[in-house]
Amino acid sequence: MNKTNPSFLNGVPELLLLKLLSRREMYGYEIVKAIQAETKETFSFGEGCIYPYLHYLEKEKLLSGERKEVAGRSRHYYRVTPRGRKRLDQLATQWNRVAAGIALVMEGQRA
Amino acid sequence: MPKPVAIARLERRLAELGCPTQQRERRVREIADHYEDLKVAGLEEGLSEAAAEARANELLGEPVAIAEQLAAALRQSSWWGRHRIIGFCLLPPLGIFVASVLSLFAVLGCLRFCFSASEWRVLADQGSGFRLLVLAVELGSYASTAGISILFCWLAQRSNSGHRWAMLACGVCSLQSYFGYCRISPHAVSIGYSLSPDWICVLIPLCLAAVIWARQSRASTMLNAVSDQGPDFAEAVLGSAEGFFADNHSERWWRKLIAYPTYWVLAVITLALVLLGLLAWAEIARDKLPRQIPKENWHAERVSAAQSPNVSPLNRVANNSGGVSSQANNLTNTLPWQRIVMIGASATAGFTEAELFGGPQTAQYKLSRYIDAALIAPHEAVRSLASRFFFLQPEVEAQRQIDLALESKPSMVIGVDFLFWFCYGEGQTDRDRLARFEKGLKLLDGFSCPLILGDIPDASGAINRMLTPDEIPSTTAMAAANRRLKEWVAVRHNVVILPLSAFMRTVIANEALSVHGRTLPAGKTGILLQTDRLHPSAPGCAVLALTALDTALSKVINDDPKQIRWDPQEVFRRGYNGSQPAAEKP
Repeated sequence: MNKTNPSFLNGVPELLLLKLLSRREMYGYEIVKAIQAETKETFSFGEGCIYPYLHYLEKEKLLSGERKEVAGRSRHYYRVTPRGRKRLDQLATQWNRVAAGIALVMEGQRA
Repeated sequence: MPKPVAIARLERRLAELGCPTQQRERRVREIADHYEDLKVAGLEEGLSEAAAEARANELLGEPVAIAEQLAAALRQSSWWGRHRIIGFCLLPPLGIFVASVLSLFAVLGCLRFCFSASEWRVLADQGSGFRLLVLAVELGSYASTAGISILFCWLAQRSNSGHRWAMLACGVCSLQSYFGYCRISPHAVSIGYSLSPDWICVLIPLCLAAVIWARQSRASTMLNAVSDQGPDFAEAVLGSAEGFFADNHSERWWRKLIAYPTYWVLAVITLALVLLGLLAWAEIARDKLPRQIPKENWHAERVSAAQSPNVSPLNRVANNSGGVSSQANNLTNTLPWQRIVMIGASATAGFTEAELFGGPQTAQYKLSRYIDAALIAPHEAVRSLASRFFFLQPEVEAQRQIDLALESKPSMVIGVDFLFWFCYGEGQTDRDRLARFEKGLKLLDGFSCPLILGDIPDASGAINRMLTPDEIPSTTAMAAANRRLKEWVAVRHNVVILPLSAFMRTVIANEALSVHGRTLPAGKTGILLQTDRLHPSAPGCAVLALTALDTALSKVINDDPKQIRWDPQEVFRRGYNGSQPAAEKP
């Protein structure tokens, strides 16, 4: 049986975080900057809000984290686990299907 | 370096939400790093330090909201966090019950593994083995209560459910411990619910709750001290957050009570504690009752039993004492009360549920004290050979008591409940029970002195209290045993039957009871039996002692009835206070 998905996790943040972290390991501030850069600041949110998602995904064992010292500063780095990669594949497939469906509707409106 | 206000607020809110210290520190540190990165970025853009901090606060977001989201995220990732009412209100009682049963089986299993059946009987017979068993069961019960309480507190903490849920689980565990019990008594192993709590079990979860509360208060105080850096700065950078707190403070208490489930939890704990207090008070008041009743109600009325229509069959036996049998003339020696020896089981030896293995209170339930107190005639201190552990090995124990009694050359022997365990207790069929009863009678053949023997009462009211259903003989078996006793006594001039069955029946029915012409009115005799429905209370011991002496005068002792104090109240007072009346004058 699937666990209840909390309302604040509607799938998009999860997909974004897993996708970004699947490329390389990052820490919280770096992840926020990556989202802003890659989405060209499409999303506007309090940066602290990223951590509840990260900790939830870590608890679900989709991410793993460890503290590392880089350039004289100690930070908590996150990376995607094998389980996280599977979940990313599922979410990406779902997203592509939904996005394609929505695109078709939008194109139809234009016509 | 002091923590920024936003980070301190975040930490305090996480602590309030019950986030475990280790997790809290990690999360706070991570967000503090983020805050620091934002501030450094601001400074690199040429902002002043104050402006960089203000911008970092703005970009980071509302700390209280972040803390709540963090706590919610952790809570939602655990079954215990998602189902807190089931997890911390309904499961703890079940957990304690299961753990108590398991601990009982574990203790019994260990002992069975360590001792052979015969070794254990020897230990139990001496008392020390049984004491060890009860101690082990009690410790097992304490350990299971403590273990389950700690387990649920740990689960509440681990699932980030907060200290209030941990305290609620402790409260529920305490309530379960108040009503539930799992214990071994001299007559049975029992698991169930009652209103006789083991206060240690009740207090263990409450102590744990107090520790959680103290730790939480300490953590909040420390975090408050850290975050109090002056309201001006806080207002400047966290206007909206301060507004949130200000609103909370001005909120009326009753609105808080309705609006927040945590206050419901506190209300439930408070109610539970009040209920426990009331029950404790009731328990203490009930314990005091038997000491007060005699003074208030024991106005013995010297009336003729024959004239009273409400007098039970017991009274008719007791009231026959006026006409002493001529056979008694031949049996009584010159000092019939000189050396009385008592034999029998727990009702004679003295027993109270409050002290399973004896203690200061148990002495006040010894029948011999009240025989002593009733006798005015010069006599040696009444010797009691009775044992509370008679039921473990009736034949062995009976033989031991009879040997000792014969050695002491008694002037009279009283065995109020001597035959009880020759009919009650183990016995697959009525035939087995009667065969054992016959053995009991045979053991008594050695006495030539006056012997007062209690018959077999119907103690079925003690089922699931002191006796298990298997230990109770059928009514047919009881009647057959009493018939056989009458036959046995009929051919022995030195033996008389004490109508214990009639005494029990009268007392259970709370009917009027007369001893030597003094009547205790109907409605006042129920107190003569303890709540276990098997053993006499202290006033009951006084009345039973007088009944035994009255029975002796009816057949086997020829002496002046004035040699005995017949006022039950006075006998109770003297016996209860432990006066030694051997050499006293009236």
